[in-house]
Amino acid sequence: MAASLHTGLFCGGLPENRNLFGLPLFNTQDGDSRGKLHLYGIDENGNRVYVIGRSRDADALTLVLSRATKDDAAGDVLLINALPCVTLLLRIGGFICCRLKLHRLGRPLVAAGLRQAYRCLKELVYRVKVEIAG
Amino acid sequence: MRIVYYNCQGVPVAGIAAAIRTGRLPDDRAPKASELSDLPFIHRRSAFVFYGADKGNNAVYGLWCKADRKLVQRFFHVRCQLYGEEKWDLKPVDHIPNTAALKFFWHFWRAGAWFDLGCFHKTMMACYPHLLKSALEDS
Repeated sequence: MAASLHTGLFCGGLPENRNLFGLPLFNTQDGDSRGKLHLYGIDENGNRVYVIGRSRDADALTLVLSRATKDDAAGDVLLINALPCVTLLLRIGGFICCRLKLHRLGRPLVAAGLRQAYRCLKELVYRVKVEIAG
Repeated sequence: MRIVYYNCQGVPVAGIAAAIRTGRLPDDRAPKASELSDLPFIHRRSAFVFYGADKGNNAVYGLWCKADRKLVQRFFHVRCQLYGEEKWDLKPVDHIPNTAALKFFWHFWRAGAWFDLGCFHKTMMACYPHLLKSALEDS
């Protein structure tokens, strides 16, 4: 959802549930997709926005990606941790959907959790954009 | 080529294997406790350290942290994708004998118990042949 906000997939307020579940990669991830990089889109400044699930191994991801070489052709990589915005409801809903595959039960929880997390994610994206702008 | 010795149990044995490969630790005798404690970032719970070049002029790194092994491999793949780097040669340093004891004494030592450097050194010596084997194979 943070990537959707960043790439401007929804610019208005919080989308309806059916639009939420229509977002790319949304609720289609399972345990095996952790650690895989997905190109989500490109923002208005031409920055590529990726999504990666890192489970509880934030430390490993930061360590591995932190040592960028100076002659790095890809440019700067900014790692944004969206986990602080994730609410308990979202965690439970995500677990039920992605791990237990009980979508009918999990989706309403995910949607409710996202509504709780929306403001935080919006603020996060705003701060990231400010940081990018320098 | 870049070689990474890694351990996902959060013990700095990967750093020690990298140090052996680059000649910072001896491969013909057991290292002294001070040689172990002088290794960079050895007291840290997680680190990704450049140790130098080996005889074949490969850059050698040590990485240790508590993580899922499969995820670490994927993160390196992601790194190659993002930075456009060539593939890293990942060498796991696990299945170390006495890991529990090693962890125990290492944590005590990093917590400031100076006498535990001796215990950590002694436990490390028990698995040093294993680390030598890991470090020097195909070098």
